[in-house]
Amino acid sequence: MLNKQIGKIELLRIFTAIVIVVFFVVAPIFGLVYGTTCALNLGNFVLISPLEMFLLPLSTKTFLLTWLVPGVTVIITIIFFGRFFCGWICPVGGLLEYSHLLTEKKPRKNVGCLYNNWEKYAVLFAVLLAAYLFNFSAPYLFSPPGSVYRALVEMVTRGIVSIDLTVILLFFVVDFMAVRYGRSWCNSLCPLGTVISSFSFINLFKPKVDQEKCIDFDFNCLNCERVCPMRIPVTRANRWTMMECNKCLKCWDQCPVDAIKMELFS
Amino acid sequence: MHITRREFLKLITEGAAALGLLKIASLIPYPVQTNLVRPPGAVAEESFNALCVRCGICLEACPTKAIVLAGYEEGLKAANTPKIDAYSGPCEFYSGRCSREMKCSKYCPTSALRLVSKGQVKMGTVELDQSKCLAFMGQECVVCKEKCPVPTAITSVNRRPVFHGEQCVGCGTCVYYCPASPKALTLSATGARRINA
Repeated sequence: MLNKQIGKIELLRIFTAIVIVVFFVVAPIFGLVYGTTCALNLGNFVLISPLEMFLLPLSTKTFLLTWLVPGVTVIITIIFFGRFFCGWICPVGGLLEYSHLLTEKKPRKNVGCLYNNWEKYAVLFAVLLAAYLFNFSAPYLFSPPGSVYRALVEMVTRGIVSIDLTVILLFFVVDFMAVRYGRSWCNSLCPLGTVISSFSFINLFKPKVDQEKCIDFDFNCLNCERVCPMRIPVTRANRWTMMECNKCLKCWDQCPVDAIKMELFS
Repeated sequence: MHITRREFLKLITEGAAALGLLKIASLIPYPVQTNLVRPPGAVAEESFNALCVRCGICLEACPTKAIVLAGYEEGLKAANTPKIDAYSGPCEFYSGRCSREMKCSKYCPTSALRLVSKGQVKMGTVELDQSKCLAFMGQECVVCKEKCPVPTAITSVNRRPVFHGEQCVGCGTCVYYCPASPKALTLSATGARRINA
């Protein structure tokens, strides 16, 4: 029952995701902005995805001065805003989070992380090592948002429907995981998400539970932990587990006693 | 450290699955491709594969739709990188919409494509298959000579086109406009000049 409820905040998030996809596809036709989540070119200013930012020096074994400004900008952004990107901008995140609404017959099992936490660092390390050993930008094989947007761009600008390996992976493996376990790709395997969450030191705007109002001990409510797509133990979260927060506001929206406040600093 | 039987079995299965995937990945052959026609301003092939992040900005920026993505049949390393497909569109870096500055090189975020003066660029060479050419079959056709942006690359001798490979910049305009079906002209990367990264 809980899974079928869609609050106003979630409607806003779905709407934002659709608007961003449409913008990225339509904007280059008018020459406003070129690029997608992988890299953006705003005329005089370039932004490169943080994962690519780490891979480029590894795959080329050099450092170009043209990467300095985009790299520093992107790293400062993720230090301040954390996984905001995952919750509100990434097209795959939204797809995974709501794919169970289309197919699920029985409620999703609340199983915690599908994988142990260290495995996402192993995936990230493997991607970085592959880039270093084979001298090419290997993550394009493992980056669902990048390949979804690349397929979209190819479809809109050239009319070619390409069959990308990652799109196949996404729809058969990742989506199967999503239907059963929610956003387990995002919270336990995604290399881009791992880079972002390991750098979100300041991480503005995160939920804070008011222990006096919280009915966890009296009624074993834990609604917030059940709805959290990143599987954060919200009521007993610390600074390190909160680094995964993607600011989806679900816990804030679904708390029955309004015990959760979104705090700018904490 | 305490591990339950369930966790142990899970670890074993995951390890086996990872090893199996690695085995499959090692079976995929990936030859180093050097015969792909890259967009103007591309750096040398090895550096290009390392620098390109496969974002698709060059596809969006190309006004003539000459750039397409290489498929997986070109090898795992070159897959999803941009290449020039002369059947899809002519590259107008020498004269036309991109003669002032090449749009793909201007918007490339990682400088895999770099802004160079158009005199330095040679993307490849066009070759003529005389058995398919309309002029060699006795018809009146000098479309390739009329469309060619380089004055001396194609000359006509006895109303038949003669191609001069040294002058050709490999833009593929003649290939795009060739009226024969199947096309008498092919664009290949032979003789391409690239910048060293």
